[in-house]
Amino acid sequence: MNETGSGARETSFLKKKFSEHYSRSLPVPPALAQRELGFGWEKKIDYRHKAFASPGEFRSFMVSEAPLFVSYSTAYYEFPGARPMEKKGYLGSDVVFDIDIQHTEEPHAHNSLICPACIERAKEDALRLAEDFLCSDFGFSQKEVSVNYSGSKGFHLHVLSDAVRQLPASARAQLADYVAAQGLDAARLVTGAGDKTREKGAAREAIRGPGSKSRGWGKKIFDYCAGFVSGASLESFKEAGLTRKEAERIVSEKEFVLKKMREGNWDAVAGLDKLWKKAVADAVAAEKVVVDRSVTIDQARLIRLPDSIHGDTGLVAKKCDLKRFNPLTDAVAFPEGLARVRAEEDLFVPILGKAIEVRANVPTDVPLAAAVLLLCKKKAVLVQEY
Amino acid sequence: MDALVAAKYPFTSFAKKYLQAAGVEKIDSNALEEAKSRVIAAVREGGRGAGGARGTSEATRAGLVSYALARIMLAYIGKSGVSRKFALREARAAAERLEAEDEELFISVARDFFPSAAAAAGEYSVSLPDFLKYGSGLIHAGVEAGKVFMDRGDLTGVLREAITAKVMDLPKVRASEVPALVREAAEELEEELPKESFTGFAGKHLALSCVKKILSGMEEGRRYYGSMALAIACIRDGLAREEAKKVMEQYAGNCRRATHPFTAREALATLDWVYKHPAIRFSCRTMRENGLIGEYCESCPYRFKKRGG
Repeated sequence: MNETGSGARETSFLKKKFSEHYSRSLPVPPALAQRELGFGWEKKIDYRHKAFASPGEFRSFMVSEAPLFVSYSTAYYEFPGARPMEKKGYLGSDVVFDIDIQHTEEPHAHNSLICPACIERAKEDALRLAEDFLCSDFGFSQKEVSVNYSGSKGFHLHVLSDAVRQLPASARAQLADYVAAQGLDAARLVTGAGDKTREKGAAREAIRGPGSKSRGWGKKIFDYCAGFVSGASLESFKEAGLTRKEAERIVSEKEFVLKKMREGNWDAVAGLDKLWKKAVADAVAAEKVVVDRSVTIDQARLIRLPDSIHGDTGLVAKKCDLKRFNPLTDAVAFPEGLARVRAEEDLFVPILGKAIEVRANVPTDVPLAAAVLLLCKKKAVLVQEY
Repeated sequence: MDALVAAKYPFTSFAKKYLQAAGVEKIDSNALEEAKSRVIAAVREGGRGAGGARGTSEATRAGLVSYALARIMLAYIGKSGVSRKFALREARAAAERLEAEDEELFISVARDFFPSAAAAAGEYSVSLPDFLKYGSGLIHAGVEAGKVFMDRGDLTGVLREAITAKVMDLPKVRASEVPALVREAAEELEEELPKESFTGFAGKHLALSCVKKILSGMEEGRRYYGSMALAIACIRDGLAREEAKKVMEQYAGNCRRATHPFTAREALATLDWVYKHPAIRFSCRTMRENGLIGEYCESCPYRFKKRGG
């Protein structure tokens, strides 16, 4: 091992702590007997095709082996431990969405160790995915959607509904593409907005768009664009490329413009046509949720077991209510205790509501949660456990 | 449902019930000839498939029998290209008839495929899971509260896909179980059919350099889309399902083993879906959007096509 990496002592320490945690709190996947499980000690999955007939058997394994990573199949199998895959007897699969954003677009002091701002952005996306897409559009009930923090940078949303279990990969791809606006052709929803090629003197194609009764992406684009018109000032319209005269007319006739938009007429007043190309693009960018499509599509996927510990952070992949969840306090597996660690570089650990500083090459007593995070990240060595 | 409806829509559950109730005493040469003509008309002449208005109950029954016999013969012959053409034409003919039907009949045929189908205030809806069984283009659809709302034209389009898939889903037949008369007629039919253009693994699409690159294996995250492109190339080249299976198994074997292995089962699931949706088109653009290929290949015949190609 290098000076600041998890060697035998650190690994042994982590395994001991993980084992203690699992003896107190055991995560069990729904329909355990039909799930394939995978485990990792070095990598995320070193070993898969494991199955357990009962929670007791699973508990014994987890406490004695203390894997650093635990994954389970989104699929249900007749014989989950069988190999090769063809012999498992596929029975169906949950639909899972994985949000894993590395960085927010907005400039911020990014912490490469673990970044509260990036997690917050991922949480906002997860909330929109759950509310605007899974519940509002796809019609799943809140009970059918199980949300958990990934334990690292993102969130996983599991749709546990009989209605989706038999969906083929192609149907799952359609769901992933829908939420990510992949393949969305806005020109099919707002027609005539890009009409710049007409000959001189020829009539311009009327701009028709979604109205207040539209559904799906049409509704999302309508709401965003109507919201823009409703809230925009004279200056905003000018910044969007309208002449002063055009902007003044739209501002003075805003209610008329909005009424016509609700009916699907998007060019009731001159100058509106200049708005839509950018506004529609902005609407799509604002409303879409970027997900890892391969996770949603893959029916044989292993994904982190909710409520297990993530071996890269020591944080729990906790099931959560997104509106009241702060991963850096609520998903801490080891909220109590101290350990002494030494790092090779200055580090800042934002955890348990504190800003914990570790100076380079200075043995430092830190909360156990911070020590576990640093050891999992191979950013420090263990000097002393208490 | 009356006999006329059963004859017009022989792939529905009510047509099946009608035929079961009417019974088939014996298979005569006329029924076999009509079944053969039905396939040949669809494949060779681009005909609209049989069915439609029938004057008498006897004629109706004959039409249903010819449809059932045609499918048994197609299953016996085992040429997916022929089956696909037959299914496409049966579905097209049915879709054209459906356009002219009254609301009640239209929705009852729709419910045979989509139990959740409903009509209200001039529009139609099906549940999201129902839609996803056969429909494509969810991204542009009117999705709300777990339902997909459509106008009649769009629902007819989805129905057409569903009918194609159902007609193509041929019964499993063992040669020994097929009556000798039917077997002989099927063999005669096979002789009369135009030979399929591509029976090997080097058809027009499979010979494309981009498809060859996909066949050599894709990395994790692109393996599903790779399998989709490959399966479409197989069906567009007229490969039988069994031939295409070999291609897909080769592909699964070539995909790099990553954190999550890509299995032949996954590749074959994609193949099955594609072979149930034979109208699907090969698209360089989609391949590019999914990161399967970079720039268009220099010699690609599709490179100047904006859509579909």
